Amino acid sequence: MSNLNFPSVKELLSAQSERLGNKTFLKYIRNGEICEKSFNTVYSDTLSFCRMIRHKFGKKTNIALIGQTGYEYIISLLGILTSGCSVVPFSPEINVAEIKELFDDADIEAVVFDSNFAKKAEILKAACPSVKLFLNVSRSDDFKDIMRIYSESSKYSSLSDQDVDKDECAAIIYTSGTTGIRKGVMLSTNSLVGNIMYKDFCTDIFRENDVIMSVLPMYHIYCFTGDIIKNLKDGLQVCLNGSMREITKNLKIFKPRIMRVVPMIAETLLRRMKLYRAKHPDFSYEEAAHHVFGENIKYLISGGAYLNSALVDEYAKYGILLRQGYGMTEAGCRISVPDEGVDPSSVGRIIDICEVRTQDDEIQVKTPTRMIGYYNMPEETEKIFTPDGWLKTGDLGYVTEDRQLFITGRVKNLIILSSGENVSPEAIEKKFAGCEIIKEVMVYAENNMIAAEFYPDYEYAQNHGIQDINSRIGEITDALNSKAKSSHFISKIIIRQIPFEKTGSGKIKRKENTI
Amino acid sequence: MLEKVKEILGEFIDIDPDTITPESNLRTDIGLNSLDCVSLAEELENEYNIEIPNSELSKFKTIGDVISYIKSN
Repeated sequence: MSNLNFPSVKELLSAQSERLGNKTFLKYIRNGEICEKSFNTVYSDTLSFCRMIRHKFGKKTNIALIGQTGYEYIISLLGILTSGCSVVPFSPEINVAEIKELFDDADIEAVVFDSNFAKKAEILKAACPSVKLFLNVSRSDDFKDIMRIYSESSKYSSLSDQDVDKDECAAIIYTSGTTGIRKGVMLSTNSLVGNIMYKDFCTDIFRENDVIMSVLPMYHIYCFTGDIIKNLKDGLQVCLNGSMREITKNLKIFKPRIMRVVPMIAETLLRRMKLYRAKHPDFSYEEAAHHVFGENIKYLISGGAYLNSALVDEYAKYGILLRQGYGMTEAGCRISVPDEGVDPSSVGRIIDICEVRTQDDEIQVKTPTRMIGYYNMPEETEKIFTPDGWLKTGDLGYVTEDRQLFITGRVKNLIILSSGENVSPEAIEKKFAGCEIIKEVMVYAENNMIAAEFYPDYEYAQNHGIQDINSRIGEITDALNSKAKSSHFISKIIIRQIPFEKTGSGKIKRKENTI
Repeated sequence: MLEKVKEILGEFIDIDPDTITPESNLRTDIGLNSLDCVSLAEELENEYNIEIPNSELSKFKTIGDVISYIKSN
């Protein structure tokens, strides 16, 4: 047991409900109308959801949460965290075969989802007999029923009285490992909430009542601890973008002052500001910024992948402060956060609750918010910590005396696209196993896209009368692409005449990724 | 229709419209990233009053694929 004393999610909600009451916490668009939910309502709805979970299960259960950011999704998330069960979030884009494997791996007993996952949920109902509950929170009548049946005045009201054990597992977040095996990072309430309890260096960024727009997917820890838990603690108003398609429209409606982004979003929206100015040379930089982001934009906080520091200067021209932080799910998320006066090529300043050291140039972290471990993977857990308890990040870098953190490279091969999506090259390479025309394959990133380089089995091709090897491999790649998620889409193929260079142990020497 | 698609693309990407053909690949020739692709879909939905589900969007490889989808819907 640790001796940490961070608040629980329930304590945070209760304190903010008492302090900020009917002020708006969450804002979103539903059927063309803007809906607002106060701190009071979010607290009350969260407790109703918590009571439902405790009534249905009565014991610690792993609950998958799959959907797009929306009010019901957030209440489900907060409700599960308040119930003492573990929330296991997944992207709604995940394919049925993969999610079934992960349900088995994570011992999922209940699935809470929205309409974006409804079709897949129907298939999974038959395929996953161990899942006892499939709950579609997009069905407004069902959601309203939960809020009504389990309300404060219901016979179930006492079910939410007891708070959670803050050291127990509260969330399992699946990450892509370097080996292509997905690992479930177990985080306690102390990790999830503790990680956002650091003292902000910039007092101007997260001010009470500031408007922030949440655009990143909520199944990423950076988004869900930042846009929900930290904003709750800081008393901000959070506008939910919902679908990435609507970002352009919603920026104009919500006019946020702050937005958490990944580098890909920062790059894309900078390009749009530049285009606007090129088309309207009479307009100022500020007017171009207002056209793209709305009139109030001041801060973009980037995380999830390395941000090119040149973008910081570009954004400054438009009057927008683009800053970045650095973290890792296994650390509870944040390790360093933005601060004024840091070198733009740094990844920010290390937060007060974290200690960082370098060993053989690798960044290693000691933090009270570190994970409990990987779910059902004690050996993998042991491997990621040093014998004296420091978390090995797999990143190369250094720390300055004033705690600025610089990342210089990656120990591991994992490709991190500028969208923040992690792509394991080995996972893509494995898909070509069994293709007899392909003898060797190496996947890497080039200009932020996935490239695959092949050494064909020329002998096989000759014996089987395959003359156009390039086309044959192109067809195989196209077939895999058609089933792949967008981050695994192979955009470039290269056919080699000679085998790859190998290491002493016979492994292909990897090409460096150029993001 | 090609001209309209080019006009919408002009909001997202700095590219000479004359170089865009139905054979242009959205990612490798035009340089759209995933955010550009979903923004393009949103604009096309509004312009042509159609629905482009994500499952269809991920199948689009070229400008020609986009135009064929709009025509058939």
